[in-house]
Amino acid sequence: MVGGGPAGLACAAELAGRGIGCTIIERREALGGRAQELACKGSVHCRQCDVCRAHRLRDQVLASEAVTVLTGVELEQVERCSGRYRFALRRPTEAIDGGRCSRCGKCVEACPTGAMAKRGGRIRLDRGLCRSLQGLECERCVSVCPVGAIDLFGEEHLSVSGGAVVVATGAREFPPAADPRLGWGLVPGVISSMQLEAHLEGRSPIALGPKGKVAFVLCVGSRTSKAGTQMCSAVCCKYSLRQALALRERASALGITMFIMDWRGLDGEDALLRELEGSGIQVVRARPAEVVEEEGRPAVRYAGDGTVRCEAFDVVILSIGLIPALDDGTLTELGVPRDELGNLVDQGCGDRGLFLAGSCLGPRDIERCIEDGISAARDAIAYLEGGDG
Amino acid sequence: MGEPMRAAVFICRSHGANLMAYRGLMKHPLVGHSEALPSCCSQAGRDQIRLHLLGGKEQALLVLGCRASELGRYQEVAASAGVSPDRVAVVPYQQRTASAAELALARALDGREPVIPREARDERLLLLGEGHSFEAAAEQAAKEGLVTIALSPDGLDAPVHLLGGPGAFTLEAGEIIYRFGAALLAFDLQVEVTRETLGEGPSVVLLVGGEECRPALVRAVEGTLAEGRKAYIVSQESPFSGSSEGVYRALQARGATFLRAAEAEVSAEGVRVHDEHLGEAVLIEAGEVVTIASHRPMALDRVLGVFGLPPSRRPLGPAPGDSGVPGVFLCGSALSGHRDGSETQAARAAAVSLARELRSPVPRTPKARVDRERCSKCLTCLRLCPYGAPSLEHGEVVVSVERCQGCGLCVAMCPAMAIEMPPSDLRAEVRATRMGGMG
Ligand SMILES: Cc1cc2nc3c(=O)[nH]c(=O)nc-3n(C[C@H](O)[C@H](O)[C@H](O)COP(=O)(O)OP(=O)(O)OC[C@H]3O[C@@H](n4cnc5c(N)ncnc54)[C@H](O)[C@@H]3O)c2cc1C
Ligand code: SF4
Repeated sequence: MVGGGPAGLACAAELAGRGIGCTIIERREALGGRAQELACKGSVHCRQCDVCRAHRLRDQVLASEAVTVLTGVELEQVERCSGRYRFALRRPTEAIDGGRCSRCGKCVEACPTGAMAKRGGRIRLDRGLCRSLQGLECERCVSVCPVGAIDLFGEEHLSVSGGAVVVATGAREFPPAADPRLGWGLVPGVISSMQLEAHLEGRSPIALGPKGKVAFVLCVGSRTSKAGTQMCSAVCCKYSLRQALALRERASALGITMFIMDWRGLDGEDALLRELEGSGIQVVRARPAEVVEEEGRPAVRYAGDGTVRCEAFDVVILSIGLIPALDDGTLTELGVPRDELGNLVDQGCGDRGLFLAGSCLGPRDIERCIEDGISAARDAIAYLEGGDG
Repeated sequence: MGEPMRAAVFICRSHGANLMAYRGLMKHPLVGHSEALPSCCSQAGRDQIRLHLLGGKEQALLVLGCRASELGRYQEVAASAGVSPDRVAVVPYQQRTASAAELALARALDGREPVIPREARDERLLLLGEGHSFEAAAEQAAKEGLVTIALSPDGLDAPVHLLGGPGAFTLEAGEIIYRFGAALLAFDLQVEVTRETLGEGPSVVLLVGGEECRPALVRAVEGTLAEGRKAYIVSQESPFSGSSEGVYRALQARGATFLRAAEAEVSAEGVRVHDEHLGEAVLIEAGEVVTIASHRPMALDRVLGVFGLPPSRRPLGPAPGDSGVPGVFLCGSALSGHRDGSETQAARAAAVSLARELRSPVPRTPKARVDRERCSKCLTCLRLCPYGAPSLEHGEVVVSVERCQGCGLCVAMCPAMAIEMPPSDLRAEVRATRMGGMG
């Protein structure tokens, strides 16, 4: 199983439930894919955003003995011989030697980015924040550690093999900085929908003020022929609407405007649309051209009612789409074909024991990813029982 | 109601930290006996457990800190000592927390849902519905080796009654009685295309429906374009999402024009459309009007009613297709949010997960719990719960383990603050994930 997002987890849980052992190879430090960073979008009502399903699956997988989880691994090589796949992997070892560490906290003080932090009585390294691991010069923690317990670059080599491979590598978020017109990183108050997720979850609150004005700009990085993808991302209308409703519920005096092109993928979500109608959230059909700075606040320039308007907000949220991860070495090694948009396609993959699931096949929500995962598990079982290899 | 049931608890000592984690649980009022075994999953350990259970003081068995895969063996041990296998739980050593053990204890002792004895469980599936999701589900169920009773809604003309619960349903339809362990309702929206020819000229396609109409729409527009005529599509929202955006663009590039309006007036002169963007109404001198509409199958609401489901019900629980009513699953574009062609895949996934549940019904973890002391029996929770989980039994409010989805609505709204949700609640899960990197 390559990739431990909702699709990969669902597949692993299904396989494990049927007594078939599998290994999840996950590049990141923790399982769960993007769902780790997403917030539950209900508060009084459940809005069926399905984020909790991903967490439940993760718990189920971690509690299962049939599933081996390898996180933080980097692929070195894939081989296929006599019907079996063999992956050679590299994994960084624990940066801090727990046996030697005296928990003096000197490294925590020395770390300029807060990557070293005391958590649960132990000192841990957040690899994503560490400057040395990003190739910058630092290693301050190594030099201050009195007992020499820190090795930032240790590595171990692993090898995993299996009769079938499920690819569930997901899609990437569109980097909002790639569309500079919308001002992310340039205009204060412009944030991405992922940052809003962190706010909703309470991880890094954003100052919204009780009576602030907030705008959502949809289709960022999707349905465009410039930066991003031509595809519709299929998830942003859904999650943005839920985010907006969740925001409204928490701060009822907040003024919320949504700039949409169309509502997509909301068929069958009548309850949400009804909630939207009664919520006082303003919906404007326009594709904003620009977000500019106006007296320290972001202002959205768009065409509406036959004129060009410029409206200032306190916070502008860019609802970023999902784009295919084109430069993934693993997929190149496995030789999975892609369509003209960059999504993986299942052309004869099943014949060689290769199955695909989740948003690597094209943007889709968690529910569909889970269904994909389960179907891929079934196909893989049928293939393995077919006695090939 | 007599003495409450109690559980016998055995803790494996081969994992040292177990004793620490479970110290508190040993004093739990529902624990009748607790004991640490040097090694629980050996023959000697199992014999000791069996010997104790034969004493007959406890009605449930909880083994803490063992391997999850040993559950089957403990169930055998329990059965041989007269304890129902449904009242056996193992908390694996990977989940070494007191709250996991407490949940397992509550689950093993839960007497609120009728527990059907193993041998009386029915593994057959009732597949009720029509359309392509129905066929996909039937095909997958056959692959899963399920014995399927396929039924079309026409077969339910006579007065129908549903009795029993998951594992042992009985459906009486007039003279005929069906018995099954789980039901899958598979209904697709029915798409209808009507054509009206007015003369020469462009074709106007009125779309009254969502993504389920997309294939019909594409066919109609492509047909028109191939004849060299112009095509106008009138709809409120465009039915293209995800990768099908490409099709939308291609149609536009070939000369199809999309107008945004919920409806249009058709008269002898042509079709008058009030597009939101154009501002004023435009008249298209149409040669042909094609209406593509979708509607719910007629029998659907009646079928849902038989299964105790409201017409608006969509799949919700953690397993694909789970309707919220135990043992009843849903699929198809009329019953789910899947309308973009993914409904057959969803139907397959529902059949797969249903097959697993049918064969090894794992009781769900209880979520909302009512504190009887505090509860003022105002029944707010009964009215509010979207899943119909709370009910009034013997004058007390109880929450069905199977139905409760842990959405937290009742916790938030209970005026007496009498409902609590154990740590498996969503937010706690989310928090746990955030903090508990994988190390
Ligand atoms: C802001 C935002 C909000 C959203 N909100 C919702 C919502 O409320 N509800 C909803 O249903 N959906 C939501 N979505 C969509 C949701 O994130 C995706 O549908 C879902 O995460 C896709 O799951 P996946 O398993 O396909 O991929 P991912 O979640 O992307 O997981 C793929 C995993 O594979 C790993 N991986 C990739 N390549 C490799 C490799 N070569 N080797 C090893 N590992 C690899 C990645 O590290 C990752 O962990 C939201 C998306 C965004 C951007
Ligand atoms: S190398 Fe620098 S950034 Fe990384 S942990 Fe050490 S002090 Fe912190």
